[in-house]
Amino acid sequence: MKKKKPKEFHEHIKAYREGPSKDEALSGVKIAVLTSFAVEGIKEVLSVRCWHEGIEPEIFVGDYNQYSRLMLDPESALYKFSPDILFLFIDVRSLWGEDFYRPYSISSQQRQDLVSSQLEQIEVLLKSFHSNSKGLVVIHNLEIPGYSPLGWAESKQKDGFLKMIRMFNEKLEDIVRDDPGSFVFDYESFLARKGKDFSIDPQMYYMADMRIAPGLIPAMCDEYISILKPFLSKTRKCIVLDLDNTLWGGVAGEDGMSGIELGPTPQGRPFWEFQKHLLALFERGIILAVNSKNNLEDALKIIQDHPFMVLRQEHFAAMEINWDDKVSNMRKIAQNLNIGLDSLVYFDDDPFNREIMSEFLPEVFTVDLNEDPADYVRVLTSLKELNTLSITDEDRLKGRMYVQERKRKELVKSAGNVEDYLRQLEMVVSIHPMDNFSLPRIAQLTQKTNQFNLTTRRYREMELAGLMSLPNWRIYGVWAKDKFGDNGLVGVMMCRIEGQTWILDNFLLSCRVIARGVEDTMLAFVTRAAMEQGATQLLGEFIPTQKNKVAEDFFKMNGFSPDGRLLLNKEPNGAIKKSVR
Amino acid sequence: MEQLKKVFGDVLGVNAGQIGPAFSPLNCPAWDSFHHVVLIIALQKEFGIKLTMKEAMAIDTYQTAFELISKKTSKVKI
Repeated sequence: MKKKKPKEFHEHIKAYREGPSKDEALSGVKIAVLTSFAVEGIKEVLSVRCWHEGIEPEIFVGDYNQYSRLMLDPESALYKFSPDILFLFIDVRSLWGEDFYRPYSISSQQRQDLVSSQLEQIEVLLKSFHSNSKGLVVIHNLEIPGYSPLGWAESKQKDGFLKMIRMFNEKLEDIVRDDPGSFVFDYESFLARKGKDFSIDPQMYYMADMRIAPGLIPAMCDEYISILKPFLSKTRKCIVLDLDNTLWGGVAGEDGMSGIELGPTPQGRPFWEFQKHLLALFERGIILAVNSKNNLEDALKIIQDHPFMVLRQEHFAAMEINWDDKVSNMRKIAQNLNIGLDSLVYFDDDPFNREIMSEFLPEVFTVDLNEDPADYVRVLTSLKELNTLSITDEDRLKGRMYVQERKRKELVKSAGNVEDYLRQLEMVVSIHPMDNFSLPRIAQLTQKTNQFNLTTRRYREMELAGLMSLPNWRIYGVWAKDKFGDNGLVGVMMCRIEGQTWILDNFLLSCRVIARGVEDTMLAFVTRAAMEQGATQLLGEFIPTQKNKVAEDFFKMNGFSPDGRLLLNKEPNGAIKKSVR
Repeated sequence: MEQLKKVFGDVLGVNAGQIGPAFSPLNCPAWDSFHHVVLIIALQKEFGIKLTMKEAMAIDTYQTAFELISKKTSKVKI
């Protein structure tokens, strides 16, 4: 039986002592937390909340205000610990020291200089961290105090105290923007959401030097977890929606097109705006699907023709609108989209449906929806399940790509045989060496691709950047498009050259385009490239995992020997079928 | 009484049966400065009261906590 998740700070202390439930499979991660003050309790709270999300962290907490030393010294305990991710929490009071209390005892120039030197210090720390660690760093921005000694006159002050802190926060974002290994945690807006008047508990501040109210630590740890999840590829990519009383008010079959609530009226606006927010998520790459008990005709009529429907058929990658049970429909949706149930988020206004879903498909994240539609938008916009570390061009198009995929499937049904289908698809494949533009997506593909992935070696952006500069590596990105649309960058080949041998360190293709001839084109390309560059053999290794059975025989079927060798005096069996650019 | 012992037991990881009036940091090694802070937070939350810093610092045995909480919560049964 799953334990109840504690709410209050002090409840975590007991839960921590008791440890995680034994029946959960947890993925491990090493987390370091460095602070400019004492945050006791964070280890306990973070651990307990991670366990509830299927994460088993090993946590290193730096000593009181030792963050600089720990990050600068290559021999420090921090680097011996070797974190996957570092949270760096510097408190505004620590950073400003005495000037925090009397910011106008110094000149505006001095305030400027202070902020510049603070930022320089941060840059040095980040640089040192990246040269000593492969991990990610997440740095808090600064809390902007709700108080100035100048009161209302603060805004009239040149380079005022609060403005300087705001400037620090802006510049901090500039520093991390082009650094794939660093992120800013917007602590300032976190506190604003929670209520800045209570950002510290004065009693605990004086008694224990806690510079965040203990009551906020659980919520802060949840924010940490929301970046850990995409880091551990535990992010969700598809929202499955009920229709009646979820996307519109009322029941399609009873109220009909003119009777449902949707549009610029008090009852219709919650649904209307909910849909607008969903559309924004679609535009950044979230897949949308429908799972509804309804007459297909009634529902489709509304989706197609209602004047205030924001989401139309073209936005849904899968639609299960029928009288089957919702659990079977959910399985069908996952199957059709070829994504795991653990990629789905489910919105349904009916508590009974939600309970059934949680009971039978616990992998699906069933959103706890308030019965009042006025609350839907708040729930949707505070969802932490959809975070990703970066958004590539391919991500933005994903929602659309899955809709194109639905149309391809319709073509399969009408085409009859595979050759006809492939010909009618008009597939065009292009292959290019990795550059700085394709690097983030290539890293992402190595991290996310599970099925057609021969070796399942994962690479982070920073690691790829390192390999790119080595003379004995060739890294290629593979693009595919067809008449229904552009799939973008879908495949990766990484080759390590040893003498006259090319070793296929990575060979993978997104599941969206498997079995359309792209994999054969890739192999033909790399064979030719290796031959042209003087190689005599290609080494292809298959490392089995729980998910890559589909790729098991790929090398064998293409003429590789049982020990994974392909001598390069002949073209591979799957000869080049398409023009390779 | 039972609720207070439960708070002490949960925070400090001891059996409620082991807790008597003289229970203190001297005979409970888990009761360090950090757990003292957690104890104060827990007492305030569980009994819905607010302690001043002076009161919080003055708690040094189960007995002192009991007297303080009794005084602060005439309505709440402990």
